[in-house]
Amino acid sequence: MNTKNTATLPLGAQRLYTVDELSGRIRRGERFFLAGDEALLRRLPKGCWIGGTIPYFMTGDGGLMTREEVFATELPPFATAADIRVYDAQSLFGVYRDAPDNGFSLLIIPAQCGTHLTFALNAPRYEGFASRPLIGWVAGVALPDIGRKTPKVFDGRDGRVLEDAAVVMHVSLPPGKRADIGLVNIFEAGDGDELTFEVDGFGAKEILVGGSRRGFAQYVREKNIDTRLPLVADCNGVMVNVSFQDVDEASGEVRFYAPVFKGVRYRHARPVGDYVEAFESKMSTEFDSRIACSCNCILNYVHASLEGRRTANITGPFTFGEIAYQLLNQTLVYLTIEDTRLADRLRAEAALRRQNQFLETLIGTIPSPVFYKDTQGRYLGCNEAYAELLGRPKEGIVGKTAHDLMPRERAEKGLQRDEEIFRRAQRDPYEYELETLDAIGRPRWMLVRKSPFFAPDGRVAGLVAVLTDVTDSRLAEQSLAAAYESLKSAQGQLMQAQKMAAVGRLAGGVAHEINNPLAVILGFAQSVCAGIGAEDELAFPLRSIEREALRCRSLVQDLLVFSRASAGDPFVETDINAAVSASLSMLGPRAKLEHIDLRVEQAIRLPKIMGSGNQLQQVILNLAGNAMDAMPDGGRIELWTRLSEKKAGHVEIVVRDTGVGIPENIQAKVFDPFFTTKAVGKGTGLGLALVYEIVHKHRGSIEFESGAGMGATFVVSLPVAPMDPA
Amino acid sequence: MTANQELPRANVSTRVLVIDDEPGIRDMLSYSLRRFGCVVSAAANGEQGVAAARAADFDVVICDVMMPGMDGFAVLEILKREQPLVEVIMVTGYPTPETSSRSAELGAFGNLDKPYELGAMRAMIDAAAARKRERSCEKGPVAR
Repeated sequence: MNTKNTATLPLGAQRLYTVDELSGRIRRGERFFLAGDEALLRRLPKGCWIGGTIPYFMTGDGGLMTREEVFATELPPFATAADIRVYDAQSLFGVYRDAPDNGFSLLIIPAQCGTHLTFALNAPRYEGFASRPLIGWVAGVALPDIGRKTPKVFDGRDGRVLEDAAVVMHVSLPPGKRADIGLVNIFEAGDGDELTFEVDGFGAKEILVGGSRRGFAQYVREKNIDTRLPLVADCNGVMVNVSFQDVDEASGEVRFYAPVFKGVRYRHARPVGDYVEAFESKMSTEFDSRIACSCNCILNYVHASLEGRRTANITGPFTFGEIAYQLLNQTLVYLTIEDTRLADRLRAEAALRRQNQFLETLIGTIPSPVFYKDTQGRYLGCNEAYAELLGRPKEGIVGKTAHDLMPRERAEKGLQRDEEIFRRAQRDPYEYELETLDAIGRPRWMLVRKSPFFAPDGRVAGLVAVLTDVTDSRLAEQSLAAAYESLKSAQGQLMQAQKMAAVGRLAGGVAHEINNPLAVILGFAQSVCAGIGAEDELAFPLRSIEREALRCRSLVQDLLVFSRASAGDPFVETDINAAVSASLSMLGPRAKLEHIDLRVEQAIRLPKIMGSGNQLQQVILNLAGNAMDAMPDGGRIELWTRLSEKKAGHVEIVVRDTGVGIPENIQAKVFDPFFTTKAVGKGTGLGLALVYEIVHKHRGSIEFESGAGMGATFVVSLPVAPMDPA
Repeated sequence: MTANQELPRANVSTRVLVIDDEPGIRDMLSYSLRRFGCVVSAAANGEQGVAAARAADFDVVICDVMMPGMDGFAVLEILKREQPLVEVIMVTGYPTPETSSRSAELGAFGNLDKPYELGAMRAMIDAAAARKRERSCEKGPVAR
């Protein structure tokens, strides 16, 4: 912050000039607020300037005293008017009233004159006090010249030199610029006595210390008060200093550079260590680039040994009193001119920054992944949850596009959605579900909500997306669906099993009752038939009776087998190959008769199953019997046993034929009891139902593959018997 | 096999006892077997059947398994104990694997499930009668 070059200050066009240099500029119409030695100011041409006498300055190179150059503060070029007025002690009352609505007033008053005293005592009672920025200083002389020379002020319009008047330049500013005044007071009230005065004035012989009247000079001496430090009063939160001028031991009067006021409570200031340090710590860095004009107190120059040292970036004269609305002592005052448009923009930006911080906090707090991107698909930002989902740090996402971060196919899909959102340009969220993989490759289901956001011109500027992880509910739905399916299938099996059991019980109950009458019918028919010739007129009806009785018999026999399967033979270790071989003795003759090529292939050393050989034989006979029925014109049946490849620990019996096949529309019904496609008298509809029943009794399963004209393949899969622990 | 198929016939009329609680069966077998040349008697239950067998000589007994009171197995046991040469054919309307195995254990000549074909019945009677004659010759009249 200790910039040495004052030229970098954009509005701080204040520095020392030679008289010639300054004269030229005044003649060119430039406007100045001047401080310098009386002799130099007298040599300046007429023009738009005001000035006051003082030879001490803070420059870019530090504090110095010079009678060779004039310190000039150039009015900013954008100032629209500079109205110079001279006020006496009476008219100064209107100084605020005369100030422009937008602008500031620069004021110089010679020290110790009537106008100075009037202003010092009365400024706070002026019409419109502090309603407009008023800044200035009290003119003085080189310290050795005090008492020998008088401070003066100059009205540049006509070169008038004034000893008891205030010269004021009312400066108007254009809209968009605003002047403001600040001060830097490095002094604070100390811990000493509270001091009050009974009258207003620049000096006092008596003082009230904690309410009791004392001689002031005596008090200063007794308390060994350092008069380099001012008295400090708290005026509505602003620390106002009153500097000691001298202590007259003879008269007992103590005099000040500024007035003390009746009733105001003062304390002696706390000592300041390093003035420059104290000053810099108080000085807000934000303002120094906008300071248009400033001045500091001569006492600070003297007491703090500022000769050759700098105070931050502030430059200006060291004066006999500083004015910021009113007279102050040992205080740095400064004027700033602010570009209100810039200020507005800065304020807006600051507000925006705050808002963005708020939004970032808000987004960061949302546990769901959130991101936003521009219409080019570049990520503008995201929260931690999204970064975690992608398995990358946030910094590795912002500025990238989907193509940089995810597989091409997924990126394309997302971008297609984005395009649609930009095209729709509708504020309401666009929702879709996304199945994806997380950073460690687990499948995740995401509900994605995307909404476009808009630029001030109303065009779509990008989109915001919020992802909700719905994986848990999806998984729950899936397992629920699976559970429902298996329940449904279990229910179907249960119903089938119940149907079978009912049929079995019924069959067992009636078979005996039916078999006896059937035996009688069949026996009589056959015995009568045996006794007559084929031409006998009774032969035809008797043969019909015999045939229908045989048909009933086969139905009852199926029912009985069924009943026995339902009731359950005891299960023992059974070899399916043995069941196949036993069946062959019955299947072989019929196959030969019907021109069917029966091929059998049995896997050797098949593990045994727990079951009933009779029932398994029944299964094989029924399946092979159906296969033969499906091939009225002959064909081929393949019958084989094997270890299951699909189901571990299972053996299979496979029956494949080249017959007419099972049309798809009836495939669901083939295991239903009494469902048959065979001609009347050719099937009872119990064959496959029985197969199904037996297979399920054996904890096995049966599947088939077929279609009209494609033949059929039935695969019976049976669990192997558990290993005998012995 | 059909009923009117010609089967080898014994020279002498076979004496058959039908034990069955079903009157229809008794009527049908009496009618049919007589037409085949057998001499047929019938009993309506186990007790009557055993009594009839004790009272007269039979070559073959056709006995129903499931009867009220004394069942077919009890009858078979008594007959085979008292008259081992008489051949017994067990008949049932409710066939189970146990029926045939128990019949065989107790010495039945054979087993037929109702409704049987008449031809099968006749063939089995003929075979049983032939065997009876064979065994009677071997043992001689002493055994009677």
